[in-house]
Amino acid sequence: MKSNSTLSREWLPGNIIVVILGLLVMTCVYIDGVDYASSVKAGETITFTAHTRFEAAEDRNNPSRVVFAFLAPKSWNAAQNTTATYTSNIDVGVQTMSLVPAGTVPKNRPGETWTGAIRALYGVGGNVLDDLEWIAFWSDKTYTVRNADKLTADIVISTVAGPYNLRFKPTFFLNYTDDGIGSNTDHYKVYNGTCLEVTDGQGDIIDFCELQFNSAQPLTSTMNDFVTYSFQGDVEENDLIGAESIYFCATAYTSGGEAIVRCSLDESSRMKKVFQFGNTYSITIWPASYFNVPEGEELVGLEYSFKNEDGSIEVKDKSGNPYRYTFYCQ
Amino acid sequence: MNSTTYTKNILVILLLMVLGVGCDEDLNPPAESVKDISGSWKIVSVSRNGVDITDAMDFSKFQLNFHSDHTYSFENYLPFLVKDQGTWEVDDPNYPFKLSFREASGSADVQTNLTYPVIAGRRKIRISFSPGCSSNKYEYVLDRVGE
Repeated sequence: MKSNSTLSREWLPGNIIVVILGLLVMTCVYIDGVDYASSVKAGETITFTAHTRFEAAEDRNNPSRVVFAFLAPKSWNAAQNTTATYTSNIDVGVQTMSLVPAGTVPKNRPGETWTGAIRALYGVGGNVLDDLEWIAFWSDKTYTVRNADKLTADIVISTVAGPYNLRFKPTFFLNYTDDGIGSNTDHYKVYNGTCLEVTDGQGDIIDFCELQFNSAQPLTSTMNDFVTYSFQGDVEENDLIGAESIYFCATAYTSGGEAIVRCSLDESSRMKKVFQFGNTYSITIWPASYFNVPEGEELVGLEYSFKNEDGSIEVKDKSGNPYRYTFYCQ
Repeated sequence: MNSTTYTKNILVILLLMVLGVGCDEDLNPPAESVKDISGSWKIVSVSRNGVDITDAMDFSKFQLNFHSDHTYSFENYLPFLVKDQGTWEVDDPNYPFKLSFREASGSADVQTNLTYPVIAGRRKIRISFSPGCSSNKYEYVLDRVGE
């Protein structure tokens, strides 16, 4: 009995200490800023320099890699066109990073990949269109840290801007493998960048940064995809606010030069209200069928606008031209 | 008991155990049932690049018919792996992981991954494909018609 009661008395404080130590098991990470140009020409290289810190609150004996991810338009094919390096206060010279191998699972996100888990947590950052992807790198070198270690690292991402004119908000993520996106948000950070513009490229500007009246998803498609066109009426004051119904009025252009008009303002072109409240409407179509494209023809583009039920009100772009959508694949 | 006798006894016991296991039919696992996907299937959910678009348009009229003679046909066609009628095959009837289609007019198989989950007590099939740009991934979850 004595030994048991002694054990019980020792058990409680011992476990409290374990719990407290458990709470202190942390390396807080920080992204203090990311430097990059506000614009880049299509096809040219752009560099992002992230200033990061790691502050250990205990010894961590498990070798750990630094994980750094960034968000880029899918059209950039950034996984194939990017190098990642860093310099730190504990290394000599420039250190290299590699793409996190496909299928690698973060320690605390079973069943998810690194990029999948980051997307689940942060989506597409502050961007309003989702044709963006996360690309995750990790340090080729592993580190063990000691209590009170303060590590700083400047991580340099060098990538090639894609061929299309667009604006988007680069977004960055920092963590380390021994944490593996755990429950404590002090161990990982996201940094929302300001808008970056790609100029001198192909096509009309695709704006990921700010909502426009119109949007189309996915941004790249053929006539055999399902494409969703939306009217986002709450972006600013417009004449269609209060309309009973909103209709999709479109002209599709085929590879043979034919123009196919669908502007009947009937049930087939009526847009669905996306939310109960607000003024966002959308229509999802299979373009090949919607425009009854003749056999052997392909659609190359679309011009569209939004109309009320009797066609007396029409919303086009700020220049008074229809919105345009080009069918192409990356 | 000397060590030679002891060793012999052990060998006899081991031999009996091996023979005993080898003859016991009760220990054979039951055969995996054949996953018969023949029948008509309708769409219950659609995702595009991981986003559910089931309610975005009317997918309810599409029907995929796997006939028992391993031909297939469509009703109210929507974008899919193949367009024309033809023949279908799974890689393994007991453990199907791949589903192949061959259009009557085509000479090559078009293959996709197949999963066969039980959702809410009903067997579904889940098929992934890219009918337009290869960067756009679609997934249909289909439910058997009339069950």
